[in-house]
Amino acid sequence: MRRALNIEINGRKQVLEIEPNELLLDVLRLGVGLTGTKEGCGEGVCGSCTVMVDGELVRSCLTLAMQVDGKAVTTIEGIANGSELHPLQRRFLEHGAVQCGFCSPGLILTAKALLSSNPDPSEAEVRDAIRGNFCRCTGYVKIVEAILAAAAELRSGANA
Amino acid sequence: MALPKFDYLAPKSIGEACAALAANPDGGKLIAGGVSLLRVMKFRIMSPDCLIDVKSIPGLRYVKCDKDVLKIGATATSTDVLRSSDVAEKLPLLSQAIARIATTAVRNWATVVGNICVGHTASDPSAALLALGAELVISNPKGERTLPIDQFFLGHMSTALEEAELVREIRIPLPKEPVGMAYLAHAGRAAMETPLIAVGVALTANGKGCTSASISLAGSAETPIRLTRAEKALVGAKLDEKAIHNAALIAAEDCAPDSDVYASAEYRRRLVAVYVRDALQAAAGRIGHA
Repeated sequence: MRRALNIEINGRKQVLEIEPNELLLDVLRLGVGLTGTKEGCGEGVCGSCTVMVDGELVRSCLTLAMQVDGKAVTTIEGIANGSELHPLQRRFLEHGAVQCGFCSPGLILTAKALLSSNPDPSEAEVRDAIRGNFCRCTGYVKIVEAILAAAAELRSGANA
Repeated sequence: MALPKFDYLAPKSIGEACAALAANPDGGKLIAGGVSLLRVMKFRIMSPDCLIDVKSIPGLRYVKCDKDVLKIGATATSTDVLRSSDVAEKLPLLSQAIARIATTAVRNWATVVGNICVGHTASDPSAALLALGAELVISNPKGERTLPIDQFFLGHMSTALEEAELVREIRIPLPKEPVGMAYLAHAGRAAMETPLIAVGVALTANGKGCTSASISLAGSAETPIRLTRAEKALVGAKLDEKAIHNAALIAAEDCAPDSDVYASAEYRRRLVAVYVRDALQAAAGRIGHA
């Protein structure tokens, strides 16, 4: 039996009709067509499906959509300012932190959550924060550089 | 990966949740964060007809000190426990164990009560709660009962929860005297790994020697266990290298690990001896007895 799901996605409140067995990942990708969020392993390990619920990171592949009723979801599509990329997105491009790009949405949201609680992380703190996000292309060096560069940019912006 | 079909119920009270469990004795299953449950459902290891959402019950998401007891509500997440300054200051063994779980995105959604109710042997919080002498408050249609956590784990993925019961709260006695605590785990890689084995230790001592010892193991038997014989061997003894070595050997004798694709039983048993020794040394050092 389909149920009503009240959900805010990237600032837009919507009421969706879903089946009780739908996952947040599928509501995002198949329900509203936001395919930026990826399904990798499907069992919570790889981090490709990471999104934010009420500002906190979650694995959308292991989140029952009905449990997100009344909450606000942020996906990779929701962090740019119009056509202007978020500093994390821009730095990922500049530093070559994107190759196939499959892990990038999860990594960028994970980095965003890190920088909102810790605007000036050490390299070790960045590596610890992203340890649940697997990249099978880049070897992480460029990703860590991009996150540190975005952190510096966001700090200088905040001080300006 | 899609989930099998099921109905979803959102009870608004513990009474409603117990009634829903009683009304669905064969196919009803509680869900909190669901990070373990939904995974096994994807693999069709379990296919409940009806999921009963504990997270929809208001008032159960808390981590608080009440006199000499720390209380963790049924829907408190791992992150909630890590953010508690009371836990960090008074029960560092619990913070260290919970910090090992998966990664932030999982800890933000998964609950500690849910983790222990899965009944997995390699559960970090279960080992910590065993070492800390936690008690569980279990609600059922008749009211509630309390159960020491060392009577909770019955077998692989099997707990003492009976039909229509749910764990409402975890209670952990707060130490009244300095306690040396340590939590050590061995995993195959640094990230996203359940431990091969993990050890929790809580020790007290006076000028004469050890006055109380509690040693727990995860991943080293069918369930998380206390090592009572090793504990008894330590109490009354001076916490020196010899006593610690002796306790570690008893621990290795008393554990009952299985072999699997990750490690053989023999390897796990050797890890137990090493990690129990190191955890006891670290804990003794923290109360100035090493």
